[in-house]
This record gives sequence, structure tokens and C-alpha cells, in this order.
Amino acid sequence: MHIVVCAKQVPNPEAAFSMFRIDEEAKRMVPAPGLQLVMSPFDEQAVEAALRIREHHADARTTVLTLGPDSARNAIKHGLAMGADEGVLLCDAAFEDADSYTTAHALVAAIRKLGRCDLVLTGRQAADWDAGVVGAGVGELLGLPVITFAKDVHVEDTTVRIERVLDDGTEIMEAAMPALVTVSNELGAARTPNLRETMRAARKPVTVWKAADLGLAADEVGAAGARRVVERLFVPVKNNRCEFIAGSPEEQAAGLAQRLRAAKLI
Amino acid sequence: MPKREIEGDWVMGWPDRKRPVLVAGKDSQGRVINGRAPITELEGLITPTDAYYVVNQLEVPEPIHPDDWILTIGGEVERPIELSLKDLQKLPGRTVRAVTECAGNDAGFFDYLMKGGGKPSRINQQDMQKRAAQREQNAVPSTEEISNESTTTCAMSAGEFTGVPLAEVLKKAGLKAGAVSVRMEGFDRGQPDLAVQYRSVGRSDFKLVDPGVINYEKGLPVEKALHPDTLLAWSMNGEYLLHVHGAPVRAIVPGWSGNWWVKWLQKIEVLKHMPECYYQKHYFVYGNAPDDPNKEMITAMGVRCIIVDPLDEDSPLERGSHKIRGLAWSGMGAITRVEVSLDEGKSWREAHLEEPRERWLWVRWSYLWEANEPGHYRVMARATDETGRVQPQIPWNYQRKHFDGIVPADVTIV
Amino acid sequence: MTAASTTLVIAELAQGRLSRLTAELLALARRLAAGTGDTVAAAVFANRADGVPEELIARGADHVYWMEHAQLEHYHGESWVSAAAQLCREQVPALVLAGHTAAGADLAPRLAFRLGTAVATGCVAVSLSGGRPVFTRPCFGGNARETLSFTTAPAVATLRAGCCEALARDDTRRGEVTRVVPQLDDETRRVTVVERLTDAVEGVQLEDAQIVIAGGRGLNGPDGFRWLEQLAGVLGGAVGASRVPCDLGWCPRSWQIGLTGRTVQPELYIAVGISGAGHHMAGCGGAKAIVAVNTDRDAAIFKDARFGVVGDYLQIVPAFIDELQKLRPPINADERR
Repeated sequence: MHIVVCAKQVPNPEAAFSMFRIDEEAKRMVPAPGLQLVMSPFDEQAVEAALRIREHHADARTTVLTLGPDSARNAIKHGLAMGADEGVLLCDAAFEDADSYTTAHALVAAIRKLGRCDLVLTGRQAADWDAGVVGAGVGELLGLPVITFAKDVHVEDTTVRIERVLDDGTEIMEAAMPALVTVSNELGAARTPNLRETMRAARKPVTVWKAADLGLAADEVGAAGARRVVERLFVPVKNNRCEFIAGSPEEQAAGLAQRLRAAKLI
Repeated sequence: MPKREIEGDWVMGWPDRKRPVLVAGKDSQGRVINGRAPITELEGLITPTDAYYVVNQLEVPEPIHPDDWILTIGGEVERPIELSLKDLQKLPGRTVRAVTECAGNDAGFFDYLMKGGGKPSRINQQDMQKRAAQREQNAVPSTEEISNESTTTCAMSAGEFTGVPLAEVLKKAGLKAGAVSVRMEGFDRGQPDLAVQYRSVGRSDFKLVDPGVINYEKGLPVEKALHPDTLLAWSMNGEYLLHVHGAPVRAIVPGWSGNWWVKWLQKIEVLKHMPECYYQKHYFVYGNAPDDPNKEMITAMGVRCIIVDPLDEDSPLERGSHKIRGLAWSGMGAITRVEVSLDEGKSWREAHLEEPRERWLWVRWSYLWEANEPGHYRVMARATDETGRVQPQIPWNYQRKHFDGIVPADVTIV
Repeated sequence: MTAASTTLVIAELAQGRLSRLTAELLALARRLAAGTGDTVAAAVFANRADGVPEELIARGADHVYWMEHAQLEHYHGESWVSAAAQLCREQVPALVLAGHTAAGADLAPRLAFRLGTAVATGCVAVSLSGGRPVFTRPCFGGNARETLSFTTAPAVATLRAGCCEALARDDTRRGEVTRVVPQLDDETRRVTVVERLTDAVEGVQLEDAQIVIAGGRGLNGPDGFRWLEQLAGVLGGAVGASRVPCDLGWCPRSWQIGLTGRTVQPELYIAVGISGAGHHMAGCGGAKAIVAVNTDRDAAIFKDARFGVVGDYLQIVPAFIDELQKLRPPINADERR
């Protein structure tokens, strides 16, 4: 069984937002120098899901597939240190400023080139743009059944069984593989790489493909082929002043009740 | 407790152990303004530079290019002079290895040993980050709020410093007879943050003197200033000093707490009296109460000994032999003895001191504990230095400076 | 000027009725159509839809497409995407709007790719600029906003609750209802639903609640939610949570409010032990007033809160409940009189 996990490298979403600067002119997010780049946490959980499947299927092989600059190699290495088997980095100047469509388009070309693939996993959304589009797009472009927001992924023979998160509960779904599944945070924490796996990961192969290696023309990838136009990027202005209510817990409770009543909120 | 797995990370592109990192507090631009050394995870004697603790009283100043930096030496000297970094480096150099420790390090243990309650943890990750955020807010907390906070630990590190003895610089300028103190002034400037000081003291129910906007300064007694190991250093741990540690040049005052190690030096002034520096007369003082008329400036550290393994967090431990390990140091000289007690201090057994034993550096010590009986143990350790001082030396004082009490490790053997 | 075009709203039902968010989407589509004379169409996917087409019209639709098929009864991605794509190919809307729900966030991206176009997910606003729809959506964990437009049509978007005030139901409005039986081929049966497990919701639905009391990591365990439930009982509110308690299993996942959970816009939002990270605020920033209870005075939540209480919730919440009960005696006390 071959599992491909599509993973993205993002500026550490745990970092304080003050570490980011918005260049409104260029409509870009500029991370402060030295801000750590990490694998998007939902994608990390997708790697985790793949590794959990391997615990029951010794023949499962996991490829981490990333599109990004050369630094994104480190996101792949992180996946390999977690336990994935090999990595593919799609890195080409032509891929820069891709939108969800051109990203999915390039990932699909890479998955086709990889050959047999039984399951494509990815995070429910990337922790930078929070769009949650590329995963479903890859599935659509590959013509695969798509199941989003998985909290549990199991494989039995050629069937993938998923517990999908709903607004008011969950549903258990099954699909014949190949299929595409996006993983939600309910899957649970991803494993921390240990030294042994990290050392093993150093010997695992990372392949780099350019647009031409995928048979893609420069005008169908990256910014050139994008369907989305960013009109503006900004930080919303907050004009809020919090009134702190002091005193003993009883006084605070009474003060709060009084103010909420005065404001007709209760 | 299951054996802790060694975490992996990529270091210079190679797979390696995850390196211990500074638990850092940052300003709104992501710049480190304070940080705790991951002391329990470190090995050896020298703290790696990027894991070295950081504490500042005033705001970290903008950096000065080393070519633009000038040190002024004036006051009671025959020849007032100005020295560039290159000038300074032409004087006879010296390298000193010493422990740097914040005066307020482990202050929370004063309260713990006196009143009980929750024991501060040396591996609490959040405190420093929180302090950085609080600093931005600049709101004075109530005593009650402060008493619920965890306090600073791991504000200690050890480094190798290269520079020139302050005595050589004073000799070049010609020290006049009758000199009493040497005032060292940094180019960090600002108004002392009352909130930070109240937090450090552990209460806010008294009035602090507000000196307005000042440069950081300390008036070093001339005897200490002339000690050959008191340096003006431009190098730390084999490389030029980092800005966050006081570049281009900082003072190294071995044995005395970190507030004496003035960073970002710009001015040296010899005086015939002790100056009334804010951080010497009002803060960083021993006293029984805020209104104590006999406050005294803090100088040399007491005798210190900490257990780095096992920690309370390692408990329970399996029956068998365990190596109790720790660090010991003193403000007055080399450590000559460390003793371990496993019976709440009734009996003490001598621990092994691991060479070398340097005058200003800490020493690693260890004790092989055959823990064959299940039960709860308070593991205690105490040090003695070459002047014969046994810890603890420093009594409780209201600013909670220079804690050197005996902190037990509470572990259960199963 | 181009000819009048159509905005298509993908309707979702809750207990057989229009969901509140669907009504908001209709109002939003009406507002966009006001200047252009565009048509507002709605697609409802259901085997039976008694009264729903009428309600869609009463809430702002000009044209309702009732997609009638046994396979469409509950949300089923494969079937809904296929049916919606068929409808879009026939009707050629310029804009397709869906709610940013577990269904909408699944459907919209796939529909967009199937139609060869693009999608903006989790939007908080849509406007027209030179006749083209422009979408505003939170990104970077709710800390920033981007506005997007597309070079392809139709533009597809999912909207968060609170994107627009729903129109009052007007049963005098007239509209057309077309029954469509979509061709759902075998491919739509590739994914089968084995079982649905819904969390029992007692009391008020989160999205409909005027008062929401939400708990975070600072509750330090599942027991804290019992206090919040008690407070919700007194105030007539609903209980929600930030992501951490849901991930840790302290409360049902369906309580999660935020970027990857629900979006609420109550009159009053009481956040207990919630730090106020951007991804949480993305789900509750629309509240009229936020009250924050937190031990950490520096918590980001206070930046968004109107009233702040610094302290231990285990002391403050019970005292607050007592305070409220002083003024509003328990209902059964009234009944006894």
C-alpha cells in the first residue's frame, strides 16, 4: 500500500502574531527573520494518520509530498523523522505564488508521476491561509472519492474507513481505495520525532522535481496559472477597551452582573 | 516513570539530539529580552551561548557598531581617556571562567522553605514568556496576584569570558589615591519598570523610589574593581559577545551576582565615595522590610548547590541504583565539599566532586544512591566552599535576593 | 453592462427547516442583487422538502431548485457535489454561496474544482467590485484578513455565520419552484455512510443562542464544564468550548467554536479560561459583547473583551451564579407561589 501525504511548510503558527508583518503593498505576509518554519500541524496529523495505518499494515509505504521553496525540504525531513519513508519536494521558481488551484495541479502531476497510490492524506487546511481547498482539489483532479475532516482513518483490505467530524457529531464512512482523505485536529497529537527515527530519516531519499519533470508548462503553475487574485491583505483594527472588574471573587461577580444588567446583556 | 525518550532534531542538516533551548521571553518584535537556561538538560560546565540566561533591568538598547564604540574613563584618574575596542584589545588580556547568576534566581524557594506551599519548578516553561508579556503591559500587579505567580529559576549559567582586567584599564588612566569606587555605566537607558521589580520582590504593597529615566549603572568598590579577575570582556564562550549579553563590552565580576556585570558599557568613572546608584541603594539590597533603615547593597553570592537529577518531575523512580547529580558554586571561592542527605538532613554523606574545581566556576558533583527501599525520599544536597562557608549563608530578605537555601528533591521509589 | 446573472445559494436544513445560516446567505445574495437586478436562486437537496421551497422564497429566493433524490436526504459529499455541479452547468450562476459548515466546507472546494473555477472558504463578507464578487476571509489563524476575487466563473464561496442579517420571513414574496431529479451515477456511491453519531444537544443550539458560555484550557479539566452548564441554565444560554478542551476530550467536539469549529454571534459571549488565540476569536469575534474570565491578566482575550475578570473561575463562576439567582429566583420558586 502506498500512502502519499501532501504537507505544507508554514511559519510556526504557534509564534506570536506580532512576529508577522503584513506588506500591504505586496499583499504578502512577511515573517520576522528567524521565525521558525514548520510542517503545518494538520499536515503533521495527516502524517500521523499514515503512520498509524502502517502500524496495522506492515507493507504500507508513506511518501511526504511538499510544494515549496528549498527550505521546505526541512518539512519533509520532519515527516521522515516522524517515520515516513520517502519525500518529494516540488521546487521551482515557476511554482511561486501558487493559488489553491495551481498547487493542487502540481501535486496531482507529482502523484501521477509517483505511480501507484492507494491513499492520499493531507491536513484539513494549512495553518497559514486556512483555506482547506487544496486537499479536496487534489481529490477532484485525480477523480478520487474525497472524504474531509477525518478524526480517524483505518484501512481494511482495499477499503478506507473514516470517522468524519460533523457540526453536531461524527459519521462513519467507507470508500474503496484509492481515495483522498483530509485530516482534522480531532485525530489527536502527532508523534514527536525521536533520535532513532531522526537518524534513520537521514538515509531516506528526498526527490526534487521541477515543473518540467512533471511535464508542466510554466504558464499553468504558480502565479501564472492562478485563478485567484489577492485584492488586499490586512490586519483588522481593534478599537476595544476592556473594563476590568476588581475586588474579591464575590465583588467581581456582583460587579459583572451589575454591568451586564446595565448594558441589557442579561 | 517510563524512561524519557531522546528527542531528535535536525542540526546543521544532520540528525541529532534535540538541543536544549533557552526558555525565552520576547518583545513584540520577537527579540529575546529575557530567558531561562535549560539548566537541567545541559551537560558539562560551560553553558552554550544561545542557552545562556538573560535578565535585563532596563530595555535592551539599540546595538552599537564595534567600530563606533568608545569607552570613557574619567573621574579620579590622572589621565581621563577614551578607548576604542581596538585600544582595549591592545591591553594585556585575560580569560576567566565564571558562573553568572541573577540575584533573584530561585527567590521563590525562600517562600517555599519558609511557608511551604507549591514548590517552584526548574522546568516550568511558561514563566519567562509570561514575564515578557507582562513587561509590555507595565501594569503594577497586586501582592495577591504576584503571590500566585511562579518565580524565576534557572537564571544562572556559566561561561568563559575574555577581555582585559578592569585594573589594567584603571592603571592606564592612573588611579588617584583615595579612590573608593568605580562607577560602571551602560548605554541601556530607561525608567525602571516597577511591575518587574514588584514581581521580582514578590510583593507590591510598598512604595518603590522612582528615579525617572536613568542609565544602568553600578558603583563597584575599588578592591573588587582591582581584582585581576574582574574584566571588561568582549568575548564569551569562544566568540565575540552577543548583543543580548552586552556587546561590545560588558563587565565580568566573578562571584558577585549578575546585576554587577554591567552590560553595554560606555563609561567608567572613579569616585571618592560610593555613588547612590538606584540599582545599588534602592534595589538589589538586603533588608528586613521596605522601610528598614539599614539596607545594605548585595555583593558576593552565598554558597549554592542544586540537584539537576533526579527532579521531582522524574518521580517515581524504580528501585535500584540512581546517580544523584548536581551543580555547586559559591560567590567566595571554589567548592570543597558537597554532601547529600536522604533522611531529611539527619545524616550527610559526601558526594564526589568532579574535576576541575575552579575558583569562580561551578563544579559538577554526583552521588551514587542505592535506592533499595520503596518509599518517599527527600533528597538534599549542601555545599561548602574554600572559605569554610556551608550553605545556607544568606538569610531571608524582603527583596528575596541571593537565595542559597537547600532545596530538596522529592522522589518516590517504587 | 452584462446581462443580469444568478447567485445560487446552497441551502442546508436543520431539523427539516432552513438553517439560520441559509437564511443569512439568502439575505446576503439579495443585498448583492439589489444594485444589479440579479436573480437569487436557491438549491435545496432533499428527498422530501415540505414547506422548504416556500420558506426559501419567503426568505429572499426568486427561484428554488428542489434537487429531489433519495441519495440527497442527508449531506453526502459525492452526491451533493455531483447534483450541484449538474445544476450549475445548466443554470450557469455567476456566484455560488454555501455556509461554512461541515457540509459547505466539504462541498464548495470540490464543486469549484469540478466546475473548473475557484473558491473562497470561511468568508466573513462578500461585496461587488466592478460587478465582480470580492470575498473577505480570515487567514493566519484569524489574525489577518484577505480579500480575494477570481478570474474564473462561477465564483464559489463558503460564508461564516453572521455574514449578514437574515431577512424577516415574508410569505407574500413570490418565486418559482423547479423540481430537478439529478442524475446520480454509480460514481456518487463510491463513498458510503455506515453510521451517523450525533451529539445530543440539550437546550439551545449554539448558533441560535443569545448567550454563549465557552470554556477553554483554563478550566483545567472536564469538571469545569459542569459549572458552565449551570451558568448556561441560569442565563438561558448554550455552552461552547475552545479547541483544546475538545481535543483533550473534556467536552464533545461539536462544542468547538473557532476557525476549525463553529461560528457564533450571540449578544453575550462569556469566555472562561480561554486565552483568546486568533483561531478561537475567528469563531466568536462577531459577538456583541465578550466577557472574559481568566487568571492571566495578559491573556489576549482581554483585548477583545468588554468586561474582564481576572481570577480563578472556580471562585468567580459560582459567585456569579449566586448573584444571578439573587435577582432571578429559580423558576420553580415562582411556580410554587
